Amino acid sequence: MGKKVRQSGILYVVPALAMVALVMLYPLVYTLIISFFKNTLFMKAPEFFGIGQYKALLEDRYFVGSISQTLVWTFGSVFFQFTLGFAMALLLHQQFVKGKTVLRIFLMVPWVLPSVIGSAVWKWMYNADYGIINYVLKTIGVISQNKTWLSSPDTAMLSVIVVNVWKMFPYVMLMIEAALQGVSKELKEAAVIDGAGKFEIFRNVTWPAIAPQCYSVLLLMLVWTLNAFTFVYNLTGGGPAHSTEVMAMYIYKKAFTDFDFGMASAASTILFVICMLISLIYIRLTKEGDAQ
Amino acid sequence: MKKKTGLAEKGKAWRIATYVLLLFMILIAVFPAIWMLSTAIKSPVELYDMPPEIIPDEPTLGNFVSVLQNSKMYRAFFNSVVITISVVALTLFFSVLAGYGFARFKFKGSGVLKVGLLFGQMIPSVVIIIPLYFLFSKMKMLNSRASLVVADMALTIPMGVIMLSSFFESVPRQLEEAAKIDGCTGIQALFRVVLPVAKPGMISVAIYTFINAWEEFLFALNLTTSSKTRTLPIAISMFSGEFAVDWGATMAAAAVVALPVLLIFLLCNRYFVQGLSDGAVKG
Repeated sequence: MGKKVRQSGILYVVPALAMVALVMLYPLVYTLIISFFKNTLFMKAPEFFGIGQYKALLEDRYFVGSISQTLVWTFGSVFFQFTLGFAMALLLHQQFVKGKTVLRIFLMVPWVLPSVIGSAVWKWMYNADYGIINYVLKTIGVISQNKTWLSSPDTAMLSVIVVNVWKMFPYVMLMIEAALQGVSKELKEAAVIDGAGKFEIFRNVTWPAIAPQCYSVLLLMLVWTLNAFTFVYNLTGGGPAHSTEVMAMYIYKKAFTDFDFGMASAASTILFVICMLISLIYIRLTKEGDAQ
Repeated sequence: MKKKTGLAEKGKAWRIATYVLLLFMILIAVFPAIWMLSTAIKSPVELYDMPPEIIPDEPTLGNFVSVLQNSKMYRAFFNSVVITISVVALTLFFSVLAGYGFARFKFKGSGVLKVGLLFGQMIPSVVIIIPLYFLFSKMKMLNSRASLVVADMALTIPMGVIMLSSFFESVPRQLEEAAKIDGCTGIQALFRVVLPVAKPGMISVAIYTFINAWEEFLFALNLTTSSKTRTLPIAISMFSGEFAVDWGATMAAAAVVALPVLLIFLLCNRYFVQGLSDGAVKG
């Protein structure tokens, strides 16, 4: 081992990089390659198929459907996660609020609870006959009849999105609150002296300071929601009638129920490319944030 | 004068509104957890009572007893503990070294590699599970705890390295330089001088990793196929996926799984919040 290599510090990062190469880089490359081969459990050896599987995917109405479900799922979830998290951060950040730490701990509970637990409890709360949600909504007069939230195509997606928003809004809140703490007090005070109203201060002082972090949180949420699998799997399994089958669920089913690994890999590659495009924007933003 | 009291009243109303809104959201945030506990201490008779009650007339520990007597649950609990502890220990080891390397040295490609790790945080696990499944089946490691430990690290190492490297950057270099003058090698300086100072950063990585590994679902679902290696999340999912669900027992099992995370979160809240915002936002 050369002294130069030792001094460069590269040895420190090699173990972690080797791990990442094994569990991430290798699988990614493998997925990309296998997506050009026909490969099911029932074949002896994979056959080269070119872009045939990508073509087949675009003709598969369940795959095309899964794209539109993914759009609804992702934008629906992220919009409410962000709005709610942002609003809660602003409320919590106000100077007069006492006991912030305790309030924050309580608000973080959904995020800390394992997703599987969240799914199990919400499934029980959504229960058509004995669920507390139907009971409460009926008592306050929002609905007149018990609804089968998770097993009717009209409400299933909405119901899963609600759970996802419940789980992730605390994370958004935490991140934005941290950003708010970094806003310069002097600038705010100066604005007050200049006679600026609350809204003006927010627009001209607070927002420019927290905007970069808001954008990064937004993009993180987008990618995480695109990848989210646990809630959909446990609450509806992609049903009823494929109405909640998002891309991650489609890929999972193709691979582990139909055992069509080639098609699953082609679909994976498409999902991966979408995530990477969003990540590129995220990384450019965090780098810009660093430079400031 | 009149205007001023009006403003004061407006301020007071807003304060009250703020607290009301915060408390309302707290109710929504914690209600599922309360409902889980409430259901867990209900007997089958009271489970389907209408109107539902939060505190049952005759609370019972029967559900917990039946969960704790279920040998499969024991096994799953044991598996989850072993896997989570291994993932936390290994992630810490790898991320301490790499985080330190990235924070202190600039070598060819270090910038690119760091960006690569940021990308790593964004890779869908459903994309890597298929190749991992094949990889482990070729290595005859399917259905083993080791395979899950390795797979989980795909999720935890990138974040761990990013969090720790930003933490190490805030540790003054003079510390190691003094140690080196005293005759320590680079790696000795790291372990003897830097690590004790870096405790808060390591604790936040440990907690983050713990939470992730404890709840990991997709990998466990596909890499473990028998009750011998199954983890708690899978056991719970199978519980509540049954046709005739015993909600009391399911909620008791869920509470058993949730307890360790909630406890750790409560105890280490301080580190956790800080580390999380450091890692994710600064990058």
